[in-house]
Amino acid sequence: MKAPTGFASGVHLAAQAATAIGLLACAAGAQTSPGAQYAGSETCRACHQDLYEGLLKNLHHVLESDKLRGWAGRSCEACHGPGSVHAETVAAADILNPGKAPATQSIPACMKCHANQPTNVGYVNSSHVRNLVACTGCHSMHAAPAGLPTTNRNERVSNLCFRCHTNQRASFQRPHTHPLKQGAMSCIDCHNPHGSAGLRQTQTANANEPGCFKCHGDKRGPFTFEHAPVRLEGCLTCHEPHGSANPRMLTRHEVSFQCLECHSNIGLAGGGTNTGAMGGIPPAFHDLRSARFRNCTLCHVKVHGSYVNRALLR
Amino acid sequence: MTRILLAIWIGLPLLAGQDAVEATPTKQNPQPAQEAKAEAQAPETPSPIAEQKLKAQVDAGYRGIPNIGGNFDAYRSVVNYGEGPKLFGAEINFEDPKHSALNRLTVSGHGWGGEPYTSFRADAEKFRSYRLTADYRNLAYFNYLPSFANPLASPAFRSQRAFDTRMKNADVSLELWPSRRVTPYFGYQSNYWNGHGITPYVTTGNEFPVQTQIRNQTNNYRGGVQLELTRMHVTLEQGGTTFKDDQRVFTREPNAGNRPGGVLGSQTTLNDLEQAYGVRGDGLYSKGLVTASPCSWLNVYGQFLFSQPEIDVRYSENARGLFLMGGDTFYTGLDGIVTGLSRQPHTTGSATAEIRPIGRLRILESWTTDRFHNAASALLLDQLLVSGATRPLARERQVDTRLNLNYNRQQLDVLFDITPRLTVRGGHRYVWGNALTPGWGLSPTGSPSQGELKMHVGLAGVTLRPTSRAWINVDYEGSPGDRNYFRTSLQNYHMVRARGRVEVTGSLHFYSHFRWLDNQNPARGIDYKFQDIMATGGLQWMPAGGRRASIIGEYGWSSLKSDILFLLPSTLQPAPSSYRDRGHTGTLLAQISGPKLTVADMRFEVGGSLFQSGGSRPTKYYQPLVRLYLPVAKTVELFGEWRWYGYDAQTFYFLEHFRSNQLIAGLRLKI
Repeated sequence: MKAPTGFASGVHLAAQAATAIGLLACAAGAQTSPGAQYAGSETCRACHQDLYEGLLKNLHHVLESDKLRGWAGRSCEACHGPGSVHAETVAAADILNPGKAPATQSIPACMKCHANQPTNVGYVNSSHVRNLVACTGCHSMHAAPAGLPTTNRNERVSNLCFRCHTNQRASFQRPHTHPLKQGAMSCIDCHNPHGSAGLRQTQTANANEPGCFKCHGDKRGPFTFEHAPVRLEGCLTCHEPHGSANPRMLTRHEVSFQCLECHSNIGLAGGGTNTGAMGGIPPAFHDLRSARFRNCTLCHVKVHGSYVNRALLR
Repeated sequence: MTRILLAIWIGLPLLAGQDAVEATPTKQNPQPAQEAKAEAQAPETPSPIAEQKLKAQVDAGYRGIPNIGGNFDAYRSVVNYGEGPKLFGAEINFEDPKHSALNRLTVSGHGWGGEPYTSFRADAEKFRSYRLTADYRNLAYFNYLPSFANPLASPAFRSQRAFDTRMKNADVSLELWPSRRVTPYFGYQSNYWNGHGITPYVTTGNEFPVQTQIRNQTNNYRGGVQLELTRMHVTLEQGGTTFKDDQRVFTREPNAGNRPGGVLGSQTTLNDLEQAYGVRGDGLYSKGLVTASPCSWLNVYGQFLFSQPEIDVRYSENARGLFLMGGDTFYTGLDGIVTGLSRQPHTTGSATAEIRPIGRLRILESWTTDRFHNAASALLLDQLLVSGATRPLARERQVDTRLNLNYNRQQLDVLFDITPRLTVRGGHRYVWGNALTPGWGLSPTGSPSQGELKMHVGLAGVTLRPTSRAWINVDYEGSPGDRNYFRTSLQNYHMVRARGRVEVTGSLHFYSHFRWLDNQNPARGIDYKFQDIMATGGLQWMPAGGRRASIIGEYGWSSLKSDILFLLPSTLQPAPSSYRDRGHTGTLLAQISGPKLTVADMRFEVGGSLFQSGGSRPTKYYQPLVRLYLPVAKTVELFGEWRWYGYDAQTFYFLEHFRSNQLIAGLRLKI
């Protein structure tokens, strides 16, 4: 049997015209025994009855009838590769096991079907892939849908992420956080683990806007009077979304410092560059000895942007 | 209403369970037509094994809160749990072996019964026919912290920005013919924020804390199609958004504001206020994604995203009282309107190629651009009733503003597998762009501000899997810095991240995560030094698969130092701003299975979390817990929980202390 990856003729020709580089790639990328052919699911089932039944409880069972990609009757080999040699030798070395294989081998096995995940930029821009975190690190292929250790799906998802992202779990123990510990949301509400156009794999909203606006729609604008950092560097300029000891997840304990660390540029940015030149200056009548002026957002209430006031007062 | 929903929730699995019982004979004696249909379907799509047609779990009970000591507003701002009967969680999984209308249905809910965080989710699927997902969340946002922004302020200046609101999000998506060549999909998403709060009404020389009513909503409608060809995938999506913001700020009570001593010898007051925002917005967006594998050694990805939100503003303001106008002139009333329009065409594009010239070498080249030009105009009209004047003073201003951003990023990564267990990578990122912003900032004068972004970043990393039971991943990126937008932006920085995990035995795992970031901007007048270190480590011990006992424990340490010069607003002289945060975090969950009761082992859990920090805002936040599960029947389990919330802010923040004992007694029902 041939591999079920029919080429469109033009593409096929182009692939054939590719130099030996491509052929080398095929050879080096081979993950099963040379000469192995497809044996069919029934052959696999003869020895791996339990795994086969597990697969049928899993969403991947649709492979068994997947004529589109040519996996009909070969659901096991869709991921494990041709298994005829393994069926004869019964040696683990003669079959690809994506769960144990290096990510460089297991990820392509998954990408044969999943390359078009809704990531905007393709899985390859995911830092998970760059850091060789295999799909099987998070996803179980044979198991049935998860049992019920907790009824809260958000909690299950976050706990999965926290197995590796322990720094983030620690941050969420701080008092001012998004309600992740309470199970009201999960990591994937803000991050796309499969990749994103934004840094830190953040989700996007409305095509190409920061994912924060999915819930905080009132901050989206466009405002008549924008507060530039919100647009240019995003919410992280002032907020620590994973948790902070400061109210409203601010990165400083007092709002006056939060603002004035940027709004202090008169005649000081120098060196012939524009390094840190944006940010304006505070008007001189703001006397920090007065409590009224130590809280900038007491007056500048529309600090995320205003529709009607250039100083963001209303 | 809440109680009715609660009753329905609790009753659902019982009703469903009844269906399951009734369905059993049908399963044993299927109707001939159904049998024939099932047989006809068998060769096409193998049936998932449905050992049990229905699985459900419901956790319901009562939360008692004997006491909440300390600052109740701080408690609500941080914890916010209430007393009473609750549906803590429920999940129902239903599989229909007949595949009539669906194959699988999952319905879950969490936090019903007056809880601050309520959610509902339903997933229904018929393989290759449709996939439907509905998600609803109702989240409380209460924030009334006395120390917000200024711990040294007297009570008169505290909590003048407060929220008692609810955020309701709904998201429904429908995919038709999933896993086929052509998969259309549709979606609707809504975000609704409403509630009450306090906000200051700001005038020259005085601010008046008044009530506000918050009400805004964003709707998103989208539809698209995924095309799956043999070597190529295409996603095309068209969507639209609508937005409205109807915030009101109002008062009918005389208010002396933050200057009770008066201004220039006169007592400024606010007697009557009505501010109304009538903001309406809409916009369309388009999305196009392509992924392709033209040959075995090449994958390419591309996207094009375009959106153009628009906002139409109708704002009115009517205020009566005595207000300072400037100098020694006062006015007694203001009537103003603002009309405006803003538009933000926003284009994003990216392309990535993954090239594998030899099997062990991967080259990733990606390019991204993101640019928007925000153009807005507003007409401001108002008239002031100036004290002593015979007729109102009318003012009119036309304002045009613009904010432009052009951002570009190009990145090259090379990954090489030295051995199947060792991969090294290196790369280079070049980020460049420019921005034009209105120059006023906090200053009413000044020309538009222009900024330039230019950074070369070096990238390196290594992934090591010495055995199948251990791995370590280390990443480094650093830049000497060139040009950036803001004083606190990444400039001359180095960042290292490392993660590792080792399975000492099948039941004992150790893992660790480390992050170090050092950023400096030595420019004159800035002198920014920033260092953030965070390290966590943990272990998971589950002997015999955790049947008798298990422990999961983690400890984290963090240190953040930031020093920068800023200008004292009153003198425009440089002064240092220093921020320190040294944190210790711990989490623990130990579970012990006790003696067997009637049908199963009782389980005892103890643990919780703690956070303690020193530095600029010393804080302690403890949440120990003890939990007990007592199985009383095969499908019924009693559980009880004690949890302590202790928040202990130190030095200037002592007035935010709170503590609370919480007891939960409940029933877990499993089908």
